[in-house]
Amino acid sequence: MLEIKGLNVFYGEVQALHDVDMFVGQDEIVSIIGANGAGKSSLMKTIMGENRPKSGEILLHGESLVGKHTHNIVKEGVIYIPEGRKIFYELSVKENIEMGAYSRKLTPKQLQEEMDYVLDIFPRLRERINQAGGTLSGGEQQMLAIARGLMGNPKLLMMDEPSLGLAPIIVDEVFDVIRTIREQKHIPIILVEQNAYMALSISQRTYVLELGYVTASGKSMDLIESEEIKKSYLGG
Amino acid sequence: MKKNTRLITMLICLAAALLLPLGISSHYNQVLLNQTVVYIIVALGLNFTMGLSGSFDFSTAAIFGLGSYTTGLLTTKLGINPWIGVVAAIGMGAVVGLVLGFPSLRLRGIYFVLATLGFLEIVRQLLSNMTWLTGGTNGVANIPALEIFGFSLGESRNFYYVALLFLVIGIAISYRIIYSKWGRTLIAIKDNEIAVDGCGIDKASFKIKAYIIGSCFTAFAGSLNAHLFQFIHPADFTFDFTVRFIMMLMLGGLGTIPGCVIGGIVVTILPEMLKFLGEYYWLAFSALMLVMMMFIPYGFASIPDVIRKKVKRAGGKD
Repeated sequence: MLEIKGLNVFYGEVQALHDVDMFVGQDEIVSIIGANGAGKSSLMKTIMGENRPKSGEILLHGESLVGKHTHNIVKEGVIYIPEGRKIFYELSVKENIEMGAYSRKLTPKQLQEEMDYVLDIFPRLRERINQAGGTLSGGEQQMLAIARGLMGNPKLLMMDEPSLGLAPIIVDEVFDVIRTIREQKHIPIILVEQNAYMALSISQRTYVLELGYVTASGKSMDLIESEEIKKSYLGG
Repeated sequence: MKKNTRLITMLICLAAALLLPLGISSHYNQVLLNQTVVYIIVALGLNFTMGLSGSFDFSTAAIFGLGSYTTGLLTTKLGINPWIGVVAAIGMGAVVGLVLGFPSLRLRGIYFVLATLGFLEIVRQLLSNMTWLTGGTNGVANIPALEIFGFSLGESRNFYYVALLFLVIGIAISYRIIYSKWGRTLIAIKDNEIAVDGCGIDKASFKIKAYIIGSCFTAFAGSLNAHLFQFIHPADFTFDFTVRFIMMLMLGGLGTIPGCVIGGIVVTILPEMLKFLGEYYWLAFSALMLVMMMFIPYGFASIPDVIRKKVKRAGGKD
């Protein structure tokens, strides 16, 4: 599905990613964990075409994404839900969700069907459909960002810190939704998280990024038992 | 219900605008009124870039000036019909918008602002120094007045009514755009560029289109201005002139059409009303602006919302 080979990314003189190799298979949740500044968001932004790598390849179904414009990468079905929610505060909930389908040519009827599907996953958004996005609570805004992402008909969904700044009970809800999406849509999901325990417990496989290097990778079940990971990320 | 109130408000405003000149006897005030209508059209144009897509734009004076000079030179040097000059000015606006916007709006960050600022200065220098074409600092004089069915519009009430018609058309176009998918995308760009990227939208192309439309409005208003005063001068089109329109938007309410109208009226007419203060009138005006920005940061157009919220809060206590 998605294959990353020998990726090197620089911000000016500073190297943000060193020879990153990564693979995401069909129908799996892959999490990327790491501390602040480890290069998690840089990796996401590079996949989305916002950063140009100095060397290396990013292949989606064998086709290179490097050098493509962001809006064209989205059209390929790679949907990125940015960290910190990033919804449109001035637009209504409905308009926010519709924006997600922007790159697709849908008839009003199809749009309504897609919207109904998304709203079934997030009943709380249906209650607030005409409210301005900015009036939602943090958890609702995160739900809205995910709902908007789903409207783009993702073939690969990438979520950047979906649990950031949310109350623990809401975090559980968000992770339930992520599981539901994978079960219903059968699409691979890349989950970037600082909440390592959550990320490890929901994903099949995990990559650990440290200062721009992939320092560990493997089955999440195994990593969660590893002494190294426990010490660095799980507070034990 | 809400839609009806808006329609009624608009009709009342239009009626007031139609009756207003009847209460004005002095030539000076009539010209001021004409100028106000022209300036509101510029504010509507600037609203597309600054108000909607949120890109700071300093080129207003330059584009207004180019619009003025396009029709001014075509009519005086080649004797072309003023209306054709006006159309040519709109074309000039579109070309400038495309040429300046296409490279600079594709870059992220401050480059568009710098490009417009540089362009402003380049245009002013060219207008002052290309003496063989523009007449340099002597300006262009004897620009013919606009005519309609044999009636000269000149600086009179006739001009006001024709300009008002154009303003109404401009407002209608603006409303059509703001409440379309297109306008919503522009608002979304202002709101959050990263999220717009995430939705698969080519935001540069939207910003460029918005800038082109805005430039057409501004150049059009510039050409009306040239035929209104029948004289243009490069020193009119400076940075100060741009700031005046930015002030209109800030004061009226960024991104809203009533904001453009109210801001345009206040910023054009209020300084004139303060002229009894003699040399201090601009100081007093600036102080007033500052106070208004502090108490109504979202502009005059936000006042109904502020009041509604206050009433709601008071009601909640009971």
